Amino acid sequence: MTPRPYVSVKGISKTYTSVRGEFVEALSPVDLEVYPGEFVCLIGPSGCGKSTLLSIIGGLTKADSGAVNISGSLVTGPMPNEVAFVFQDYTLLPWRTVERNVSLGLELKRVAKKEREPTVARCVALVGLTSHAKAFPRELSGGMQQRVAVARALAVDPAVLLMDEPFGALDEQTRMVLGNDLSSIVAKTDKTTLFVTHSLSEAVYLADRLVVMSASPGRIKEIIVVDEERPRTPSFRTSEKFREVHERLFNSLRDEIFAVGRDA
Amino acid sequence: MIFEGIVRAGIYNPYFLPAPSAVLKAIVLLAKDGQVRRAFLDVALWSGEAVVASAVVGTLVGCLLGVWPLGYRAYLPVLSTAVSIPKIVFFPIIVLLFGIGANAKVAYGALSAVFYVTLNVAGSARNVDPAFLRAVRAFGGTRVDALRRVVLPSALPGITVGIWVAIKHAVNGVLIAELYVSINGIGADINRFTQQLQADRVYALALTLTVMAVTAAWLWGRVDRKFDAWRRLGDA
Repeated sequence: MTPRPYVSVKGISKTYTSVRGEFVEALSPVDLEVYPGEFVCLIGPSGCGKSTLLSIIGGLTKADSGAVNISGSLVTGPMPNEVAFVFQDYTLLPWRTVERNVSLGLELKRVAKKEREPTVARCVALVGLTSHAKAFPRELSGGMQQRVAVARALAVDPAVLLMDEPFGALDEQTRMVLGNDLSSIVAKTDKTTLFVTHSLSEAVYLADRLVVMSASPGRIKEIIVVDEERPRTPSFRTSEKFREVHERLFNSLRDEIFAVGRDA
Repeated sequence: MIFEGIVRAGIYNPYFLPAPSAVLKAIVLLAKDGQVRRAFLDVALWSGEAVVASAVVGTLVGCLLGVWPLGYRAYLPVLSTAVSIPKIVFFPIIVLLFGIGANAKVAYGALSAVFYVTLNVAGSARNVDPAFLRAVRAFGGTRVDALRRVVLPSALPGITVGIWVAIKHAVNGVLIAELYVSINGIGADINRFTQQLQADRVYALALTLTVMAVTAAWLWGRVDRKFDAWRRLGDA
């Protein structure tokens, strides 16, 4: 028997009106199911609607049609008890210290200060920033700031993590380190994760399943399963299996990327 | 020094422009007068109340306009006009509403200051990073949460600058009110000394008030630097 999906997306579509008044079909009806504890990467060319899809799943954007269910309930707006976001642009509040940034979600859930403190300390420790707990975001590197954003998401103890190109602004080596850490953190905390990325090797390294999307209109082209235990170790990056999946992903994406690239 | 010399040489009539030394003497003389000291305290108190009132109203209205683009476009011209209208034209209305007591002085002081706070706060709240608002929403925050935890801290530079300007205008407003409606107090003293041609005393009062306002604004500037410590981090 297959388990019930934790996140289920049915017939989601979204059309934008561009500045010039043209209709842009960001998502033509999309179906997707994500199972409890699964790590799913959304990958595709720019403009394929992967960030829009994530935003709709998280209740931040309204879809034109279709429905999203998380843990059996229909998504009509943000669900802070179920879902936490990590954004590409970190969105840390610059006037708050690391620990006060991490406590933001708990404050918004009206958790009492006494109860917030141990959770915040634990999450700051989980991302390895205990010695920077009193620092302001400005004093941290990009990689460290994104760790804070991850800790802020984990602090509200969501079942689902939605990560929108979280490492997009970081250099390749920092990405690898953070990817490693994220892989082990997510495995430890047993989160269901949807992760948007542009990086093929990041996607292969992190995901149980790769959702390949194509643009205009945005839709799911192919789903590739990465059959490898998590958390993964750096040696996976140089394995034959990694190379095979990477190649398959590249072949699936090649036409999409170059089709969009010519328009750009 | 030159000024002192000019007056002593009799080039200028000291009835209209007293020598600095005469003004200093008048300050010492007036400082001994308990009633005058009491009047200065009153002005400080009323100005303080006017600053608080204008800060609260200006911050609230400014924050709302900052996050409400339509309101900003609709009301900004009104506010800009309000800043440049001489507030004195509203003075009769203030007197009708608040009488001629302390309330009228505080109200007029607040009216003189509030538009500066509102404009500064609105301008600064408009620069709120929408990504911060999205983050608060994503974590389940309400509009009030967003206002309190994002808009208000983002608008802090505008609030502090606004209050800094408000201090000067509030003191100014309270004094003008005193000049018009008081039978005692600094304003009344200034009126009386002017009529008695005791220019040294008029200048003594004016100088002391100026020093008071400038000192208050300077002290506020120090507070401002404390609030804002994070802005100066990592810039080096």
